[in-house]
Amino acid sequence: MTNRKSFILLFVIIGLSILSCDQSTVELPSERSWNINLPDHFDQLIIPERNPMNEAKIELGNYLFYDKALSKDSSTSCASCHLPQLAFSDGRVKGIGIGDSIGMRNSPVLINLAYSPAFMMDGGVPTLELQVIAPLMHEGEMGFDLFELEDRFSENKLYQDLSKKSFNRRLDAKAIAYSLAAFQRTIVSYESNFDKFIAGDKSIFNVEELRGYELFNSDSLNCSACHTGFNFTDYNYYNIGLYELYLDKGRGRVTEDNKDYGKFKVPTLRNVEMSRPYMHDGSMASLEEVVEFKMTGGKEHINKSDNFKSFNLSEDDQKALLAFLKTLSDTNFVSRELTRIKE
Amino acid sequence: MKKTILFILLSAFLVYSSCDKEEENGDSTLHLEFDFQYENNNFIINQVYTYPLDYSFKIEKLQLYISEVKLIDQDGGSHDLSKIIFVDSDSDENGITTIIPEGNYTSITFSIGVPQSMNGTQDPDFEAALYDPDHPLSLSNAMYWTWNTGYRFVLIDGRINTNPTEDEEFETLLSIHTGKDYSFRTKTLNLNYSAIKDNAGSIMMTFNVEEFLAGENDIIDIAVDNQSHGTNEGLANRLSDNVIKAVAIK
Repeated sequence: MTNRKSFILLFVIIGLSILSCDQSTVELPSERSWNINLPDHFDQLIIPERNPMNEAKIELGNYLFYDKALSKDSSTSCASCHLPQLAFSDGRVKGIGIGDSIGMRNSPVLINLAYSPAFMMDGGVPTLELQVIAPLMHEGEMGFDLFELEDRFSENKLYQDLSKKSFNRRLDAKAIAYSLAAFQRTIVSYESNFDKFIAGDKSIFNVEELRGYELFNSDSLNCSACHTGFNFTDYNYYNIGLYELYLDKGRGRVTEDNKDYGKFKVPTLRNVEMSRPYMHDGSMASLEEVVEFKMTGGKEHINKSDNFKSFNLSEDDQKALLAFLKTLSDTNFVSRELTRIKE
Repeated sequence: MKKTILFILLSAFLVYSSCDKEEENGDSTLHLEFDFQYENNNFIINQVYTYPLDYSFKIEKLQLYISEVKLIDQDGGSHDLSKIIFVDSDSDENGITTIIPEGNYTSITFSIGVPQSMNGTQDPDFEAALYDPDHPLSLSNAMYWTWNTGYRFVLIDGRINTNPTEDEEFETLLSIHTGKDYSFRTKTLNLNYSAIKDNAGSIMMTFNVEEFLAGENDIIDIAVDNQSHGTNEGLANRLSDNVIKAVAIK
């Protein structure tokens, strides 16, 4: 082979080597802070100082949220019980964890969590950073150990690089908890037809939906006594007389105060159309069933809230109320870049 | 020559600075050890014992937190030994070694449980995930209640056989996990002067496991009262009272 040909061959080999370099190196998001433009009727997101938002951290949390390797047997991710298309609920009566174990309660939606002062239906956990630990470690959910997770991800270059960018440290227990919390804070629903109505587009509601809105705010139904504010919850705990005898003590499990037995946190009604079944135990399959129950005023219970009384609604008004509730649906937030499933 | 002198001075400095600080400051090493007993014998996990109410049972796991351990000297001065210690009855590595000033100590004060300041129940800034794996409050010890932001103080898991005709049927689960601030207990025990030597002392803290459940003044019928998980305050308080009374200095 002549020298010229040898040189060309060498050049080709070197070129191919360069081209065949690790293609899995992705372009990482920056450490830039993350912002969102919310409508005027929304409060600013509540972001704790110790866990500021940045794009790299949110990206890391996004990957982790959908990664089944977070569970002991790699069968279950956060998204297994919190599906984006179901407003981050799962459509089941109760959540299902590793080994097909059935959870204690219905999987709640994960919407606008940045505003919540406490987590779990009984409010037992004060911060989102602590809340993410609960399903990760619970033997009936993902059943794993945060430190074993550190080992499992120790060779994951993407996660390690994102953690370095986010926290300037290797992926550890804190990075896992904080990034998952940061990601969940980006799951903000604010573009429903209701929001457009409040923002000034009065033509977006039809006659039936307007009637439903009026009923929702009426004294006779009293819905807005608890489902209040831009997020349709006052974050308080109430007993609505779902049962005469509660198997699940609800808030009472945390406070051990008899007066709190059967009380559960008021859920947001945003995207309620997508998050069936309903109630803390998933015992109601449809919104129609919920409205029918609410009309009865609930069963007798010593802790039942005074906010909760029976009322009558015609069939047309029931339909109107349901039509209004459906105006709280916002499918944009599941298609937004930072909430999409990571490939 | 200058280099030689410099070398000698540097070496002397290094030797001096590496000297045992105990010798320099009059401190002493102290070993605080833990011992679990049942009926005056070493307590053994999974061993079948006969309960005072005439059924047999076995304990599969027994763990607890000891906290705010201090020695009181003869002048009433208080010396911190440890803020928090995780003790697993099945471990060969219980105990701590620490440094205290030499002297005569008359008593030891300690608590069973996690102090409120470390237990997270009132503190929205509480950070369970920050503790390293070898820290007593690490999540790896499986003592943290993820649903309620706090720690188990005493964890007893086991099984009970209430059917005297069937030797192998331990059909009833025993699972008492105390916690929450109402389960926190503090005690002071007198020390024998001979328990601590001037230069290297040790204190052996003994737990009478039998009296955790069958207390001197309160025998818990574990065939009936056998579940508490940050709930059942009454049972948790009974166990907490029994446990603190069942601790002695050997």
